[in-house]
Amino acid sequence: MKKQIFAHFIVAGAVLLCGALNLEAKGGGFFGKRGVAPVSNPLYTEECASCHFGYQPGLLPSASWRHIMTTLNQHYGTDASIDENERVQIENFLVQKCERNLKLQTKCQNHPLFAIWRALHEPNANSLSAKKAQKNRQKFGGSKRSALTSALRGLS
Amino acid sequence: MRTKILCFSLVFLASFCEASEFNPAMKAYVAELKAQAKASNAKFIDFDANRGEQIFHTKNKGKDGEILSCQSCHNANLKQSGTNVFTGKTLAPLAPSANPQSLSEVKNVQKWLKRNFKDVFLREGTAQEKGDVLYYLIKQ
Repeated sequence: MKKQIFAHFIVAGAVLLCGALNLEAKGGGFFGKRGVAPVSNPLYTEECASCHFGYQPGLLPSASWRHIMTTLNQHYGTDASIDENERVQIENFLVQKCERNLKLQTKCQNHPLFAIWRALHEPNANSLSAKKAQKNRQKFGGSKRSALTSALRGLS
Repeated sequence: MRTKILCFSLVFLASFCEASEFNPAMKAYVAELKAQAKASNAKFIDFDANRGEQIFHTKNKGKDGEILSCQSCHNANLKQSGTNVFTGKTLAPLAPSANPQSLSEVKNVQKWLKRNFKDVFLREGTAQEKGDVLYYLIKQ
């Protein structure tokens, strides 16, 4: 029982750490200012955010930004085409920034604590969770239930 | 003394002239449009503010099937700000006499001429049409 509670602390810690690392805020993260900082790119502000909210690059994957930036003449029912040179600059900014964000996510996912979190949530044959799940299955019965649900059932 | 007054009045007049004239960058853009207009129409001589005014007032079934003219968003009184009928966005006055920023940046002028012709007439304006509209607007 104590082991299970400890495991939950680890999971909670991993989730918090991921959240803290994942914030795009300038000088942000868990110990700094919380939240997502507004975009600070003058060209982006002028050409995009003068008409609508300046969506942060990290909100979309690069393929989606590329699609948006190559279909500006049909931009949600409006022709939002701009100077080609500036279009390229904005597209590069969005793609690079969101890929930087993706790198942060990867960094977070490679963190040792995340491995434990994954082991508990995504059972596969050789993982810690698989062994645990097997143990739980023997204990509680059932086959498809994940290790975590079984463990939670065990707690309640 | 007389020469001084003359000087002052000349400067004063010059400042007036400047208000209804394009800046060098815009002049270059207008010259570019002229060359294009000439290339597609051998009889073309110069742009015309009256034709421009006509275009500016012409109503057409434009974007989203709405009956629009340039005035729909830019206001019949160009010295006052307008409101975009689709988005509600406030548009600064187009008349350079009321808003010195207006028609001062080529990139901006090109962008909005292209977009707004499409909004109202569902096609891009020709070089002549664009020039005509610019000649009309610069005088406001």
